[in-house]
Amino acid sequence: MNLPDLVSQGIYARLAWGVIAAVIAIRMLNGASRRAAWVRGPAVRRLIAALAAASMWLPNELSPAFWAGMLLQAPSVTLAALCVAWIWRCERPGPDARDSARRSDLWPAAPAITTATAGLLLYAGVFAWLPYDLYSPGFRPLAGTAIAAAIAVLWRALSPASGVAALCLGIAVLTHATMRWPTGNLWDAVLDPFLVAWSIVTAMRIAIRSSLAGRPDRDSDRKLA
Amino acid sequence: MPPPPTRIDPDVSRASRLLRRIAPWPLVALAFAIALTVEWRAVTTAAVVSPPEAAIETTTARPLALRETRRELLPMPPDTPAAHASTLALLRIPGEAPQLLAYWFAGTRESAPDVRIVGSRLEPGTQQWSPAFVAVDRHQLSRELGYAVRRLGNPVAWVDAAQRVHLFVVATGLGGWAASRVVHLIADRGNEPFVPQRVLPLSPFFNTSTLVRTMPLSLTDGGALLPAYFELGNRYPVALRLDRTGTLLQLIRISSRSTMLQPALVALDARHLLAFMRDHSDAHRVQVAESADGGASWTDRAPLDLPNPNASIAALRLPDGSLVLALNPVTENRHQLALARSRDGRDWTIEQALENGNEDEEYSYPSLIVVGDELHLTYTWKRRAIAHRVYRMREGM
Repeated sequence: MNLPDLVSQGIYARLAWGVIAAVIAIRMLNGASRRAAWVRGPAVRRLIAALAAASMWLPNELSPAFWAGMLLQAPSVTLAALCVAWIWRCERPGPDARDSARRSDLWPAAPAITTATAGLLLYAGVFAWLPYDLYSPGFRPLAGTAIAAAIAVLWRALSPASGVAALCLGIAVLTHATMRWPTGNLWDAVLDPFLVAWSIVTAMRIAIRSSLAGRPDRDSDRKLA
Repeated sequence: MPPPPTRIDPDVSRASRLLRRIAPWPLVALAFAIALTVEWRAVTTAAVVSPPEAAIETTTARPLALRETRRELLPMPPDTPAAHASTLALLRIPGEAPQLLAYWFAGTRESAPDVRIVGSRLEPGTQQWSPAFVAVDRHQLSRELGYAVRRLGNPVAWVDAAQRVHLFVVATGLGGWAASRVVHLIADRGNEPFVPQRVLPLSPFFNTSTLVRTMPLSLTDGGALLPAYFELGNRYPVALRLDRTGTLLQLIRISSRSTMLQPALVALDARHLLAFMRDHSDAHRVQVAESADGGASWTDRAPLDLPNPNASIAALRLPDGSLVLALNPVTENRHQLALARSRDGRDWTIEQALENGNEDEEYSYPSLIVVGDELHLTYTWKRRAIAHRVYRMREGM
């Protein structure tokens, strides 16, 4: 079994937490921009996001990654890639004004439901709520990579707008195959508790909206904030 | 006068949206194709991992009798009032006499911020324990891992074929022992400092709530089965298969039940293993699981007719093929400690009473190891020190 060494894991953790910190910083600025004119400029946002990301590389206790690692270890590559995609879309205004509203349409129904289901099954085994263990096969990732590829095909069939989500999943399995990030187990590359929680919330929102609409939700690409 | 609204060509907008929908998919296909190729090559070029077999040695067919020859408390660091959870390992450097190593955690109290992993060596020449030294310090470990470690806990030691000493240490995040992870460190020939290799990836849920306690079982391929357990809500034991360099190969669940922890592994023969476990249920019995394939898979068995007050057990196979357990032979508290013997792992007799204190005293968390013709036992002594006892093994009558 190939496991990444400590230095390699540290590099990944700082990169991943840095991306997440940048997203958080931008979201906070979006909220503040209604009150403070000076934060509306893209240069200010980029600077603050870059500083948030760069803070992860401060030494030891000065780095937020030092404490995030204690609490949460490292996020999945899928989540980090989604954050990069979100930032990318923020930086690229579309010719159609509506495109800006779809910047956050990165995790539509098909990926959300798949991830929520896989995550709940995985955690049910870990907590011994069900009598099996799905985590340890993640150390033999050939089959898992093939399954992930099949899932991406399924997303393509169910939801053509899941392209970015599928690309993030593809980046996760590719990163795991080449770098074994973040832990050497494929599960840790493709999902984490935050992504599972977000997926569960998204799936529940779909179900509630469908139920309120009184008919099945045929548009599986429907944007959910 | 406000500027006129921007006129957007609907055909360009539709094409742009269509392009954005299609664009990721070729990249998706490329990413998966490369990943599958890399993984396929990894599988086809990887060394074949043979089924595990326990490394056992039977040097005498006649039953061995145990006679205590020595007892003492291990040296403690100065101004350190508490000690717990000792582990033992044997260093066999070619050309030198075997050297017994002991490690445990010590500090103000269990789970205190000043707890460190300390050790001592039984010097072969003088047969005296060395002054206690610090093997793992929490602050140093945090800096080397790149993230904070809140507390240190149980250490488990193992010596590989190259005589490198491996320490697997419980290190917590926020939230007590339920937030535990297992850090793997190595020291060349037991000489400090121990260098952290990684935190073992044992759970997808923030890699938390997995601990070690009991000693590894050596395998014929030079590797080992390292017992571990999950402890958040439900509790269950697992075995971590390590290769000869100490790298994690497999994570194997030992029991499907959810009230057992801290498995003590022992081999009846190369393929037939038993796991004796601490019982967190109301049964208060030593729980058992069995493997017929060297630890690759396990089956739950009926508990022993030995009590267990939700406390750690040590198990060992002696050179005559018999098994010995060190345990608290009561259903509550840990004020008694005893050695039990068995020929088959099912029927046990209490052979030696080790400690019989007041109910508020604790003698617990034993570890066992054979060194030549001696059986060495360490255990927590009143939470203040680590006791050490030696038994000479002689062919009995």
